[in-house]
Amino acid sequence: MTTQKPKLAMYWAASCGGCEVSLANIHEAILEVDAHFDFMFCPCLLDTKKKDIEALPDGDIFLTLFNGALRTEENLEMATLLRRKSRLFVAFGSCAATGGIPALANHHGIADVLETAFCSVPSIDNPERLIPGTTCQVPDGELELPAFLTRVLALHEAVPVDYTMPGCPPESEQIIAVVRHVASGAPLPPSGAQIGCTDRAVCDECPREKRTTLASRLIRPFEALPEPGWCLVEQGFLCVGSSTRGGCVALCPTANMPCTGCYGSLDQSADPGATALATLVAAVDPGSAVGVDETALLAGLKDALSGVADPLGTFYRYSLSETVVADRAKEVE
Amino acid sequence: MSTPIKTAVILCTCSGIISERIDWAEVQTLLAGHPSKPVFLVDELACGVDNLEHLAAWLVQEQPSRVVVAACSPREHETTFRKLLSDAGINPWFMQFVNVREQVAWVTEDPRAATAKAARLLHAALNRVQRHEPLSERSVPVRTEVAVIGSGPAGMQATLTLARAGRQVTLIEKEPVIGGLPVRFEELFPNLECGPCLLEPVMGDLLHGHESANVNLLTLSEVTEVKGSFGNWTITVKQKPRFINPDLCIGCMICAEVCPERRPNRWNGSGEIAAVAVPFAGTLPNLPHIDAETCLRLKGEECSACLAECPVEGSLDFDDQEREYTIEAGAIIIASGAEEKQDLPASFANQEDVHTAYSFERLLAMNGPSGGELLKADGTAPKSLAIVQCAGSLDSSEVSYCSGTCCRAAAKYAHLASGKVAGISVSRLVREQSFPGVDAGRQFHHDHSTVVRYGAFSELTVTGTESGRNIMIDGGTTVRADMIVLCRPIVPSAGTAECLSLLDLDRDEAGFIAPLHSLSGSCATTLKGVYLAGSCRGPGDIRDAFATGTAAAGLALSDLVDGRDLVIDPQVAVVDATICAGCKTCIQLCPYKAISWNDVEKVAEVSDMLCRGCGTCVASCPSGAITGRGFSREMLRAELEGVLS
Repeated sequence: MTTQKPKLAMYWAASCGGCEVSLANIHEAILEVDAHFDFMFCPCLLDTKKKDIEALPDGDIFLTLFNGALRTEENLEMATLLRRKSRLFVAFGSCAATGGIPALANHHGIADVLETAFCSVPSIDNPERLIPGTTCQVPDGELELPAFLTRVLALHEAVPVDYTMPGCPPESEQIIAVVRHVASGAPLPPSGAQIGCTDRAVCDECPREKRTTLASRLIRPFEALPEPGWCLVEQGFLCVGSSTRGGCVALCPTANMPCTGCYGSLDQSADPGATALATLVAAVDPGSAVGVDETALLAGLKDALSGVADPLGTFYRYSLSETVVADRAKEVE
Repeated sequence: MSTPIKTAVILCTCSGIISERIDWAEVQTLLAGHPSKPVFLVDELACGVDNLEHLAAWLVQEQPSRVVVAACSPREHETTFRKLLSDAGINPWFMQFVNVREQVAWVTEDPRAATAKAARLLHAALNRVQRHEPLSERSVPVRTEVAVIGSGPAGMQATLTLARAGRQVTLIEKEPVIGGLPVRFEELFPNLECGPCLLEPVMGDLLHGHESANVNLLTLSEVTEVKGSFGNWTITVKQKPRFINPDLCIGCMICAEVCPERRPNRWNGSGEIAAVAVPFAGTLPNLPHIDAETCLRLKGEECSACLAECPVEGSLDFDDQEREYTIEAGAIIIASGAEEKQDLPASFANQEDVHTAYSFERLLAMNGPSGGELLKADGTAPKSLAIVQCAGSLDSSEVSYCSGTCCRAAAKYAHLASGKVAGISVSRLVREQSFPGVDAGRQFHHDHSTVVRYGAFSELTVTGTESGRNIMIDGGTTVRADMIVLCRPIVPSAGTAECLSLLDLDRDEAGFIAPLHSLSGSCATTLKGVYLAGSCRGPGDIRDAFATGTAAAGLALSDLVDGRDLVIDPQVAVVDATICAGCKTCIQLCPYKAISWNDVEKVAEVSDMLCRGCGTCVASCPSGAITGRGFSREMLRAELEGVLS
């Protein structure tokens, strides 16, 4: 059946499927999507094939929501293809926007990543130490797997992106709002804009109150039960909401979990992890340094910061492909 | 760079000092491809008067939108060239100043390296200056009022000096009485002048002299918050209730005589006073105060003893409440003083007839606990007096410094004790001695005491025998000690510690307020508009107190001149209210208390008057909502990219 409705596509590259779940979470509003768009490509939900996309004229898809980072040559190939076929190309979700969780692998070499994933993680039983390669001989001939890219890329690092819709995943309400906006024919935001989010930090939507006190040390979520209604940072929990774009209605802090920064950094001209680090200055007062000797001072600081068990994974959880500290491989250390 | 803006570049040779290392022709070649298509002018000495005229004419002719100046340190001539831009009709903040003398020519020896480095710095400046915004200075009047904290001799002298110059002064004193420590001393070293007699005229002028019209005295008051900066301080003062109406009370003290309740007299260090009382006779202002924790009526019990006898109805005001004042002042003079170290070492603690220097002064005073008679706790006169000097001073385990006043005080005690008790034997136990000054020399040569040297304070033990009490030095020499006076180290007073934290001032290694300079700026602090008088600067005598009180007032007078406005640098931090999410990070970090909370808009706000443009909040804002004007992220990033290109 042919249709005159504008075409809508959704694709997943290196991702977990959560973005698709978030789309499914719009519930009956999916009917609105169907009313306004020809939802024609989504490997998670529909059976359209790559060759069907290749057969389309360039720019034929009105809107593509591309989620996932670029880990493999296949990811890159599909990003390039869909970019060419789409009028509006949206980096959808944290992985597409800034590398997301997959980009944390950039801190390690490819060999190290494969060794971890296929040999050394506790849930793996692989006594023969079989590690997949790009080619594999089977009785019927040779099988090919797409190769890893040298590093995980955010979408915009490989192809031009019209808009970025952050979140891990983007909230369903924001998806509906974006779909309705596009469907209404209202003017689109300037190219390059962040959509489906706000210009203010998560704190702006967070119901917890600031008491302008400082915690003596940082604590990890399992170490204490947060007091309701009181800013998590002030209680010592490393919530990076103050450096993170809002739009999620502060879901995590409201549910007692510190914000982990999935909507991305607000300060576009600074290193994303550095702005998350800035949250720390609002969090900890390790006490006066007057008259304290250097060793005790360092020990005190170390204790105060011991609640940051994994600095890289804390401050760059969703943004490692964006930063200069990435790509430090073990073999070059 | 989207739209290159015409940029003029002035390259100074500094009479050959810069061009000796930097080849300006080569730099011009290296920068020729810059997108801003800069126009260059090499000047032999750009800061010269004639040269500036020539440069202004060149700028008028070239009509650039931005200017880069490569010359010396901005500390030396940034202002000169800002003015050049103004003269040429260009906004002075459209300039970027590059220090190629101190940071290149003087430190990079290889001319090729120096030339390449200069080119990189200029590339950075060219990138940066494209992003400059037009700014302008703002002038605000300075306040000429002064707040003085502490009404000892230093604070009173500062207050009077300022009041005589016609300045409005608020004098803030936490005690119910003024005069500080020496008003409680009967006689003062080195010349044994009467303390109250010396200070009474000063206090009289302060309270009743014609200059008193310019003085707002707040007793029982403490500063709780200080905001602002030089020229515009806002000081919050909390005043405890006196429960006495100062306008009605005539100071007859009948109330004190009839009051049935007693409390320890902390001003005497011994004895008791009534719940409504003055600390001792002759204190000023001549008003009693009521201790709420002792007074039966204020504790809710039935008592009207004082009310029944008070001759002026309404003088006793049991409904008196704590008050809060907001004081606006251009300068603050801290005269919060010092005190003797409060703790007593174990070997001297809990023994009869062991005094500190302060409680001994009160014992000697006619308005003290024994009416000026030198008596032991059993009511008899001591046969021997041992004055232990350096008691904890010059001692790395307690206080490493010499307080510098104890020797003269101890010689005075010896002299006065000999006059009060015939035949008393007085010993001064010392580690070192110091009698500075012409007058003190007489004290030294007319000393009534036997001087005994000891090695360390910890070696002294007190031993009782049937014939009386002795101090034993390291198990050897014994000194008879019916009565003991310990000259404990002089340390910062509680009020001084409070001022340090309220104003976030630097402290010296002993915890006194650190001066701007130990020799040439001992009455000023690193915080402009905050001056020091008296022993908050370190242990001192009364002469120091009067002298530094005058000095601090002089500094305030010369810095705060009516009609001389404060020019506000536009390079301050600004909050973008559309981005600020109200995390309040900046408010707690600002060292100048320049950021406040707008509870209506729920955003932080920076006062340009208080902001010094330090950038702490800019760097710490997790949202990137704060910009340092003149140092925006875009400018700094462009500059960095230029240096690294």
